[in-house]
Amino acid sequence: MASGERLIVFDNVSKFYGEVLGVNRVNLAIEPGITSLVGPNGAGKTTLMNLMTGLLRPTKGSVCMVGVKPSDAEAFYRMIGYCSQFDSFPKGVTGYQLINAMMSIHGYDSRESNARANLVIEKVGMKDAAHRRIAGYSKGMRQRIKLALAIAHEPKVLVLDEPLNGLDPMARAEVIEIFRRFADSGMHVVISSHILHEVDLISDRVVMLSNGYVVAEGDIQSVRSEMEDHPMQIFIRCDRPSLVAALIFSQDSVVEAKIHADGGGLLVATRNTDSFYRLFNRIVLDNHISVEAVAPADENVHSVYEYLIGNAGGAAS
Amino acid sequence: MMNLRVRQTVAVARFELKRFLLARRWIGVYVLALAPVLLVYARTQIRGGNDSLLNPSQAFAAVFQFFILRFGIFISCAVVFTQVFRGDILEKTLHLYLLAPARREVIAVGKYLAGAALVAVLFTVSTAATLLLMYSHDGMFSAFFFEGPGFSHLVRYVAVAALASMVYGAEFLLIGLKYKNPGVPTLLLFAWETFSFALPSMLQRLTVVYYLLPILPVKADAGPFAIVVDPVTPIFGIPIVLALALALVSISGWFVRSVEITYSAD
Repeated sequence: MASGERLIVFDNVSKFYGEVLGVNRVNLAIEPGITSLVGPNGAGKTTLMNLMTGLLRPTKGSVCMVGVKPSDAEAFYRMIGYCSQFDSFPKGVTGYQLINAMMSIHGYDSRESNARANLVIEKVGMKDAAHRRIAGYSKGMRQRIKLALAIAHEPKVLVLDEPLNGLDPMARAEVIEIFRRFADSGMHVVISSHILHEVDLISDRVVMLSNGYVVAEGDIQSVRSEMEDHPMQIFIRCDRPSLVAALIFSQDSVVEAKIHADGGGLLVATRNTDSFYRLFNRIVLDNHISVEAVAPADENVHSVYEYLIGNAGGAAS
Repeated sequence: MMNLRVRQTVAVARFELKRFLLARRWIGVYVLALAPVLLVYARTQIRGGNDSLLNPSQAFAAVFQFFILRFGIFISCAVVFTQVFRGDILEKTLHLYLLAPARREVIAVGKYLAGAALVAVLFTVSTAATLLLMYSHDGMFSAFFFEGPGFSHLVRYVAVAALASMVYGAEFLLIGLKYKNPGVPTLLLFAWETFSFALPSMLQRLTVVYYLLPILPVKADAGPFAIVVDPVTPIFGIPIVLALALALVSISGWFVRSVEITYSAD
């Protein structure tokens, strides 16, 4: 398989709504796995997802999903499942009727449509409510039906706009498990979410957006390591933190060391983590320091988001 | 592939029909279809068989041309077909169709067929019921239907109702896709079709009723301002109407290809 046939490719894509910028000059090549789109409200996440799923056409540039362009609707939508942000459904229909009808429109015969609807409804835990009208569903139930609709035809690429909204913690865990299985089988899962700690837990990589521009892209460690103007923070719990603090300043790359209020550890800021870890190992061995924990303190989506987008982000949590 | 597209078209049409039957917003269409039946029924109940002033054949021709065809079917098509896409955009459900692995033309045709089926069934049944009621007096029914031209009249009226549903439906499908507010084009088209009798002969040929009226067995009096033109024979008129409907649905399909989902802007 050619590399382009397994990637989601955005080639210099811009989308304008009249004079208003949606996204601008986006270049992406997304590998299979779970990719999260992160950014504040209005950053362009939904626009990017609608471009990915062919619901919008780029003003400039082109989008290609695993080797297929949106203009080839029959092939394109057979491999894409989209759980959109739109929380609206045709009036009067039940969850089962909607999925069954949509499977028929996909081209499955009535027996297959029926089987797929039943299977996917069970998968998202909606068996008991399947024959009730969607209008009477809770937010979480509607979210599950949208998810069921997105995965019923077994797509290769699953695009999910805020899929965890409205789900209780148990349901979130189940849904995340579905995404993980999906990604582990070599598929693409593209998620937009503003719940950053969940993004951190589930994502293989992130695409950070701000004001319509991609500001960072890749796995979170590599994104973080490229932010040279923000020294990496390392959290250390040990005995004799004052001695450690005194000794680590022999290295130029260490810019800050703060002793914890309880005196049981310190927070170190360094511009070169590799050399810091080598130095720290030597200090520990030479001085027989007892170490309880060492961990990066800001190598996560939340910190990167704060550094790159900061308070302008607003809505992300 | 052809088989798949036919299956998808049927699936879209079936789901749309289900939605039509479930939605309350089409009640006005049902009322329009039922109105001539109720009016004629009420008249027969009040006057009984002694309605000597009424020539049922002429009376039905007038009811059909001026109410069922030019008003009932026209307005129903305007209400139903301008909403098949616009309604989904306002309900924010159009993306469900657009995310299916079907050509967008298939979706347009499926939606059109559902709307045409709804309006055609309502108004062919309404037309037939109204005509049957018109001749329901003692003796008139069997004289007209068993010994006279009743069944031929019935077939012609029903055919015109069905053709009108198809061609007006196609016109309003396109209007609904082209205009965010279809009110003004609908009014213009309504005036164009309603007052076509007063248009010069060349312009009358650009109306739908010009091709439909010659199919009718009885012509209603169009009044003193009518400009008489040579009618087209049904052999040419029917294919022209069908071709027009096909062309308009094809153009609509082409328009649907460029539809984008920007609900907030709509």
